Amino acid sequence: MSGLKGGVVSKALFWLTLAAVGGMVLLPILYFATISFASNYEAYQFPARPLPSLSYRAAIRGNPGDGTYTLLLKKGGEFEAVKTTADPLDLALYCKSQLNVIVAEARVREYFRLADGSEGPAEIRLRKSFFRNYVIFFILADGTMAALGNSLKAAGWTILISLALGGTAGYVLARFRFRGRRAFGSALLLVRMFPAVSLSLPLVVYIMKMNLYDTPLSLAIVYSVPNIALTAWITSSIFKGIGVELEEAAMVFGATRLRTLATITLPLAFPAIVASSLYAFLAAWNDSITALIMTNEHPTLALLVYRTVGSSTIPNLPAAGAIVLLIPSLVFTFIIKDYINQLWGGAKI
Amino acid sequence: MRTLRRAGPRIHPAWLLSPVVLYYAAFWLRPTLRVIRESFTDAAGAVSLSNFTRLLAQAEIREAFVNTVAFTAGSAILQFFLAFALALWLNKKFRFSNLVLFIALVPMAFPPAAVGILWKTGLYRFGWINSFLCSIGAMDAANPVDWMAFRGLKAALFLIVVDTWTVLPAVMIILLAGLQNLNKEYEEAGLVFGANRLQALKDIVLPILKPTIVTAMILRVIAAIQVWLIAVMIFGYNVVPLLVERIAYNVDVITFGEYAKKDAYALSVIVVAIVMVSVSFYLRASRGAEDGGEG
Repeated sequence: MSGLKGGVVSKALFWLTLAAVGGMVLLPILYFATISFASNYEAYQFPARPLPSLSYRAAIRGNPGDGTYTLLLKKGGEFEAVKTTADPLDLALYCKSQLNVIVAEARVREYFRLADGSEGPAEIRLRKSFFRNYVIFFILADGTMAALGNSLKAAGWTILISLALGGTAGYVLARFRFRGRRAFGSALLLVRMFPAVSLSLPLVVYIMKMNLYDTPLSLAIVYSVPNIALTAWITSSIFKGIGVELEEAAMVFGATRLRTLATITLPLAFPAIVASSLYAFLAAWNDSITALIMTNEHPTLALLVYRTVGSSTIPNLPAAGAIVLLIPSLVFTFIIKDYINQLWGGAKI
Repeated sequence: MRTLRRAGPRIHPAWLLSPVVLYYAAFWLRPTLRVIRESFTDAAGAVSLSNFTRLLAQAEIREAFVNTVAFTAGSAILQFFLAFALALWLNKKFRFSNLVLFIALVPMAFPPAAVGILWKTGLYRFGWINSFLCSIGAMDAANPVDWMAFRGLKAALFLIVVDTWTVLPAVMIILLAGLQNLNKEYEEAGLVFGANRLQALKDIVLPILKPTIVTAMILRVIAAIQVWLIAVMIFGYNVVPLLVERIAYNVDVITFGEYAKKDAYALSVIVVAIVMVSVSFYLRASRGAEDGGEG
């Protein structure tokens, strides 16, 4: 609380810092989330709104003479004409594709009658189909679900390989003393020094020889390289924390080493094992670089998002994809955040 | 330990590590050696430095080198000061400090692809950055600035901002952990003996925290030298050439170009060399500072 004692200036400084930190983090996310809910029409509006809209204030106007009707949307204080047509189906399709409003043809006819009956433009409210972008990106677009499946498979394999190899290594490093133990420990730093992108090039050749090109397993093999070291590092520190005395006690009472491991050590290390699995998951889930090189027709979700950013001119669909990509990352990062702290000596949150 | 060893299997425990060693031999050492070998041989397979001389003759590569150094130095310095200030502030434990910490950690969770698109939608002419600036009246809505038209070092500056946005929490949390482990009595003793806050920070907190800072900054520098995805996602290839961006360009875009692979391999070796040099340089500099401080 000492920062608050200093009177008005330090109090102002305190709130200013708070606002700066909060604003720097939350404003971009807020705007970005809004974009992911924006219809094509809204995505082209400038300045963009910070919060998503639920419906449009609209009006419909009959144009005497040619039998057409004009849809107007409220923008600022005034109505702006956005679409003129005589065909109710045409207008319904426009609403669906540009406004994310799903409205039946019959309903459009009703609006037309309303416009005929009223003197000026008849005001109506168009309700937005709120998750439309997400539906388009995930269900209507080809390959997204398959990409999601590939991401999950790659993550699953990565967890499996990292735990099986890294977990064993962690246990051995924690429980036995032998020459070269320290060198093994510094492998993590060394492995990270080589750009993943460049290692992927020769790896692709090996992967092709193994007949694994363009499969989630091939991705997992690459993701596991840094992850095995990381898992070994996390688990060894945890195994060290579990007293040897406990294991010795079990063995004194006649348990074999394997049984001791299964009934005493592993259950105690379970949270750490979950944490390192989540690390492995995140490594696989977040990567789009390796997937870019290692896959062709079976991309992962992160790669798909990366590609849609390049190919689409309106940001709302890629934004929806990115938000979905983000959710598991966010949840898992916060689950393992305590372990991040433990790794660095335990910052308490 | 002796009891354990007797009860355990007769084989040497190091053998249990053999699957890991084999895995690394196959999927890390072998490609690494291949990259190194390829980079030092020409197309015919003869040992030569032609790949490096060809690369160094290219203006783009020199520009990429300058950009990478500027980006790494800029982001490391900015991130250190911001993260340290933030960690000191959050370590004070005020009423909402837990909530603020929670919010400050959010960007850490963003996958690189999501970071790229988040800032791309912000930086283009009709993006959310301009929308926000217009809504608070800091910009004329009729004539917004096109941030993405910025080139060269100015564009690299945006990349520093974006990179800082994502990795600041990771640096901050390491420093915060160090601060929380710090015995407050040392600092208080310094204050009692007449040091002001700044002196206590400089002469007591910083020296004790140094191992933590060194770890955090080494990890940062290694990662910063290898940044490329946000550059490509925001500006596209070739706009802000960075060394690893050049590798990705050779691998991803001109895959079948005559020298694409050789260039990628040689660049990788250059990047690793830079990483190793800067890490050892940093380690020596921080060790030297320690010796100086003690003497």
